[in-house]
Amino acid sequence: MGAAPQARPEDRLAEFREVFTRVEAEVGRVIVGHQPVVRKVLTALFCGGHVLIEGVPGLGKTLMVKTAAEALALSFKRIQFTPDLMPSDITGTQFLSEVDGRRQFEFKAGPIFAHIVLGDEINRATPKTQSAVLEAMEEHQVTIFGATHPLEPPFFVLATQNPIELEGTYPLPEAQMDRFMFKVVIGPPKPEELREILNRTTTARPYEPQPVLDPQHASEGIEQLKVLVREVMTAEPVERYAIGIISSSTPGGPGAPPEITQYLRFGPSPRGAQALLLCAKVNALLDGRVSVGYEDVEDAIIPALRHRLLRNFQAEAENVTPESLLELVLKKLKRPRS
Amino acid sequence: MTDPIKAIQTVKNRLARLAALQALAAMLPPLILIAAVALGLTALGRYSWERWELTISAHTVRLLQIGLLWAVVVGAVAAAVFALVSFRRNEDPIAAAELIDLRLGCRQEVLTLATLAGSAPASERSPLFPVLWRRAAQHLDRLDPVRAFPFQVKQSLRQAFFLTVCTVGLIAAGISVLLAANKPPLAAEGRQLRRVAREIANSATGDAQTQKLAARLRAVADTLENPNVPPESKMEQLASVQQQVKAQQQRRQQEAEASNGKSSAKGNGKGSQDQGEGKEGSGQGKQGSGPGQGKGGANGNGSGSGSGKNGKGEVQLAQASRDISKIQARLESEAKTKSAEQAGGKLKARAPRPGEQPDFAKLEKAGSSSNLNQFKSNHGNNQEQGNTQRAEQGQPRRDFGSSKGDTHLGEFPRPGNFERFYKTGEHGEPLDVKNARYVLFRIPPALIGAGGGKPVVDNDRSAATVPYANLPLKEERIAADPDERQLVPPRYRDLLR
Repeated sequence: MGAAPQARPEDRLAEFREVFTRVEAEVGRVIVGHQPVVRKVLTALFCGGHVLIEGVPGLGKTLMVKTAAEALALSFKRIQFTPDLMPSDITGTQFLSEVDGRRQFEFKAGPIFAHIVLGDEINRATPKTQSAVLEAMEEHQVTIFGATHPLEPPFFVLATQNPIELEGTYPLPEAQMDRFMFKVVIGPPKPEELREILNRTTTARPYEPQPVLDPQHASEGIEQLKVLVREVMTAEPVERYAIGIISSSTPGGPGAPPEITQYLRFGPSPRGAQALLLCAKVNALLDGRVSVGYEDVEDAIIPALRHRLLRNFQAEAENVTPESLLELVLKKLKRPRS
Repeated sequence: MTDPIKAIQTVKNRLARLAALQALAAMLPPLILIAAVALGLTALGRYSWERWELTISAHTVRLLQIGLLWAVVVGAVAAAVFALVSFRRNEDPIAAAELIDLRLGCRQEVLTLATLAGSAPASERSPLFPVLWRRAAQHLDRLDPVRAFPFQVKQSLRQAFFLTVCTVGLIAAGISVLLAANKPPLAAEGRQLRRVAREIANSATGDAQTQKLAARLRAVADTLENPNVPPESKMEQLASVQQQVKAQQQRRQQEAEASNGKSSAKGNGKGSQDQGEGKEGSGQGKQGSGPGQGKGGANGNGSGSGSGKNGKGEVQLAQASRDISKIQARLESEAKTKSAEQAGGKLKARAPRPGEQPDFAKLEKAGSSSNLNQFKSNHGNNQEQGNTQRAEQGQPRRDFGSSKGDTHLGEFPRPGNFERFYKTGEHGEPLDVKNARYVLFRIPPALIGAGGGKPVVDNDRSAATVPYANLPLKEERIAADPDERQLVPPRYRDLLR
């Protein structure tokens, strides 16, 4: 699978929808519930972004990513972040080897060299180690001893962090949080979902996900679908609407409600606007459209912006969440012309 | 397949036309209303005169009509401008596309097409643009602009209603102000008298005389409000009704005294415990409560209640008397002011002070004479001689306002007020009152005339030289049209007929 760029646009659109929905279905066969989380993870993958998943242990975060990687026929690596983990443990290192009687340094790639990388409990590693991953996320390359090693596309990092047991952790700095396209929160499963989880995981024959893409051309196919996402068109009023959301979420920004100025220290960066629009484009494609609508943008607001709002002490003391502030912005902001 | 750009243009034109039409429709009813009011103002004034006796002067009506017609013209121009502005403002393809999206439920696809169609060259467009074009065309295929964007009757009616209500309010306020400005003088006094009459009629014990008095007060109130009745007649009627009020007050007092006497006699006869009758009916409007405490409660209660009503009635009569006195004082002061203005305004704005007489002060300043009596005799003789000469020549007299006592119709003697004020020590020794907190003056029991009470023949009295008689005027009908027409209130029409 994987339509060529010169294929008819309608065929490319149909292929995108098919791949997306099939991967979603494959993951859904393994992971019970969490459909919105799966959709956001796949959206970030097709947008070229990375996802930070927040949730308590045992909710199936690792299994979800692993299943998605298998369904997409992409390579998958998992890194368990611990306080003693070194950057070279992630990026790889040079070691001395002897070939034909000659000693030379040889590069040994770390686990970061994979299509899909799961950074488990990223907040348990030291900032130095965290920054090694975050640099790779931004640059899509790793530089070791002066030699640059590009990461093979599609490079997709999925980091998890635990909201409890914060003692001895190194919370991600705001600048590094900004590099994640989405922050997705996984909640506990519902009783019916828990029953289904038990049925699936305690039987003798658990389901093995089938690859949706051809393993030989999976990465190329995904890159072509990523191009398709960026070809989706946006009207100027819709762009202005997205910009209005960003400026309304910034303290002291034009059109910002007083609560934003009261409870926030900083608002979203331009990366937030990019994430908003890219996610809206994927939403439009999944709806069979080639242009972005207001509702596509609104759907992306919370996952794309919730981790980019920096609350002040008052907001934390009064337990004002970023989600409630974003909902307030959405309520007060009017669509252009309508 | 529909050309999306043409379809958007069609919708845009329709929306612009609709906006212009709705602007006109919103402003048309108020304009029609203003025009109708302007044209029917005369009939409206006639009706208001018939119904409420309220009218506006003919000159003001004419000015108002012209003003309203001008307002119609200005409003029509404003409506045209507003319609044009609305047309121009709605000539926006992007706005039209957004409305199409809303109407058809396609999520900003037509809007995106309208935005991108003319903005970038075809080579720079997204490869997905043809898909967008086809999808927009499919959406627009099922769009009927006339059905999708009909003339918003409700909205136009709502706007028109709002503007019409505002216009009606403005016109009503303006006419009310003009009507209030055209109210007759002494209207407030008339209202006051009517209120007093109503209170007297309501609180009366039901005797015919009180009701008659109330009716009389109402009639006087009507007279006061009538601008055609001369002030002298109003004064006479006020004096007459004042006398009636006082007579009624006296009658009430006598009745109260008589009833008090009766009840006290009864109480004394019953025993020493029947006390307290003296509290009741004291003219303060209170219900008598004293007699109920004694043994003779039944008798005492009856008389107490009656006296209480009498007391209330007396208070209202006293109030009526005070009000009438106030109105009289006001009429007198107005008449004085008018006469002072007619006399040249010499006495206006300054009351005479002790030892001062306006004409005499002028003479003193000139240094011609300091003898007041000499001035008086000279002044009077000169005036009388002039009058005699004028009468011989057939000219009217010029002794209007003199103190000689010879009055003509409509002429009243003016009291010479200068004799009432003297300088200190001018007539007898001045009183030397120092450090006194109170000074008690005793007024003599009767005035002692200068001649010791003997009749004095006044030979100097001026007599009329031209005989006249109060014969009825000859009936004459003038064929010419009157210079002005005055509306006659309905309540006077019977009198005229």
